[in-house]
Amino acid sequence: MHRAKRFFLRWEWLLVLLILGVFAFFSWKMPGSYTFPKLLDQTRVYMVDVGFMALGAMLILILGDIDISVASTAALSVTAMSVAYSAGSGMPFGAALALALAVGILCGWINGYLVTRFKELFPMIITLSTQTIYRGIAYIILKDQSAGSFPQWFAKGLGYGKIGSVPVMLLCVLVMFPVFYVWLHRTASGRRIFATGTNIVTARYSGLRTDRTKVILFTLNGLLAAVGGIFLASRTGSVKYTIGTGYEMQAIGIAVLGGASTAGGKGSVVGVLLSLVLMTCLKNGLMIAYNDSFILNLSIGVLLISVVLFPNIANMIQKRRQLRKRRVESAANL
Amino acid sequence: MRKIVTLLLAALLVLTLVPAMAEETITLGVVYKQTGNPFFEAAVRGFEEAQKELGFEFIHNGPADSSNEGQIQIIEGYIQQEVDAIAISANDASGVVSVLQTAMDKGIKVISWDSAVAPEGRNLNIDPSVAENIGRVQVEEISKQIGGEGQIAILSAGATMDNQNTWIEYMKKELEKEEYAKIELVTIVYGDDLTDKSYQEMQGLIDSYPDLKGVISPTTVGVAAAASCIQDNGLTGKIKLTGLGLPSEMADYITAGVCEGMYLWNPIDLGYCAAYASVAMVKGEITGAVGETFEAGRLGTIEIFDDGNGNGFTIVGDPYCFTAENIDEWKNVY
Repeated sequence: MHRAKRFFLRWEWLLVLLILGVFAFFSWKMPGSYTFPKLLDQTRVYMVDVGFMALGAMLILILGDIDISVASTAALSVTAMSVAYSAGSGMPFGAALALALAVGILCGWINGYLVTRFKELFPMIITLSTQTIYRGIAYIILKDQSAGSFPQWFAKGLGYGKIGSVPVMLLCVLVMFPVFYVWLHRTASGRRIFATGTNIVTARYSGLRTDRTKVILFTLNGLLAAVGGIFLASRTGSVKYTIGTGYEMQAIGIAVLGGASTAGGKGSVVGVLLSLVLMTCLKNGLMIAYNDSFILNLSIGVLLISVVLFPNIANMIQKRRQLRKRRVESAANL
Repeated sequence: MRKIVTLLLAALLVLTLVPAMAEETITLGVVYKQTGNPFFEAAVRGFEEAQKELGFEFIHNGPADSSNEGQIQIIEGYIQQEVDAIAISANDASGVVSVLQTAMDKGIKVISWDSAVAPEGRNLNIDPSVAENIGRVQVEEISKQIGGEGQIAILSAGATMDNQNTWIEYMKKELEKEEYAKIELVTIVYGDDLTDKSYQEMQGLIDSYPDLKGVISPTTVGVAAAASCIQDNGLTGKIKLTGLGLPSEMADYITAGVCEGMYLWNPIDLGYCAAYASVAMVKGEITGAVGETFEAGRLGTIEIFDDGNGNGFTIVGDPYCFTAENIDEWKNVY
């Protein structure tokens, strides 16, 4: 009984409720255009590129660190890709793709190296610097121009292709979740990551190679950023150095909404998936209900702060109640 | 808890069964480069004016950050809402082609206005004026202001914006003429239609080129930022300025002598014409082919010309010169 209660009190159920509420509200408000099949189409806008980055952001948050350079990493990766391919006159597209992934890995590794090598610096400051450096390099490569003219299978097949009524892109990102779930929540290596994030000193004294874990996860985060960038580029069909600006905050927001905490040691793959779905339902609904980019940004901010504050306030109320109860009891005992 | 979930699910089921209401009126989806830009607010007034005469519905939106991704997000939303036509001023001529092609596949007509989409991503393009004239008059004006000799620079918007690039090409061509032999175009910088970036770029020009005599800024955001930068540096009269500016934004600078003369066409007419063209295309009166004509209300009959590569485009009017003499009568109009 107690276990069942704990299961239903989990954070994820709140997200499920929010998803159902948001979906019900907007499909009541706009019955013609806000339907499940149409939302499936929209997932390529709201779920895919950010989805990869949100998984990465969750990993870093579990460690108790933060990485705000992922959008710049994505931009630099796809800039390298499009310049290397240079509309078909450069290297083969497969090689350009591999180059993009390699750039992502390199950017991520540099972040990891700096974070573990210079522990006195906050990861926030380190990745703030690399954020501007990576995008700066992308700007030096491309200047204000854009590059593109990707092969059809990439720009059409991947970017806008569908299997049945499901976008190909969506399937690509959905495959990641079971893999991450098993790895993080069901294997020893996943447990080590949580242990490192919960208390790094204890973890180190227990014989975990915490620095190595961190470097690996930052590198993986860079790779995920590059993958996200590649999917974004397949949708836009054109790359400019500004591509993906602001995505790092979206990714972190989704990870936090999914139950990760900046204090480390917390994070849930299911939570990230649910908060991605929630964001898709909400952003798309706001988008077509109000057709105003400012209202969209504002509402997302309000949702984030209220959802993040909710457990804190609930905790506060519970503690106060217990305190009062104890006072009443001790008064009765006197 | 379970009851609530069941209730919500039941509500959802009912809502998805409600058939979409049959739309009889034509709906247009208008996309512009960014929200909060007075030029596009004026263009929307043109759509509203046409709406009163033709009786269609229209929704309008632009990204908050003049990004390509933001425009794609908006276009995807319009496709979802099953608009009949999309009228867009593109931030990246090639960056919206893929998504607009999926729109056209669904039978949505695509008209680009102000800043063109690449021909494969649209049915018709509406230029505000003949591009060659726009380029020429600005070179004539700056030459007049600086006395026919000295260094000049161009402060543009985005390097991926088709209209800007075309005008700059024509400016360069004009500058090759013998009468401008003593004028040297030192550089072209890009402010991305963001006020702060444009201001910084203008400051950069002042710092890097001490002998700079004049600046052409063929964008309403850029020219206003440049004027304020020149004024802040106390260089009024030393660095001359012309470009394409909104009378309402530039009135003070024109009266103060920062900008002795600048050009613009009527953005209201531009929106008005785009609305008429969109409706004509949805009704099947035109297809966007070269040689067709359509009635555009108070603007009269408008013909579709060949852009030189067999693609249809049309023009609305001529650029008009604003100076200290006539600015007072225009500053309250747009």
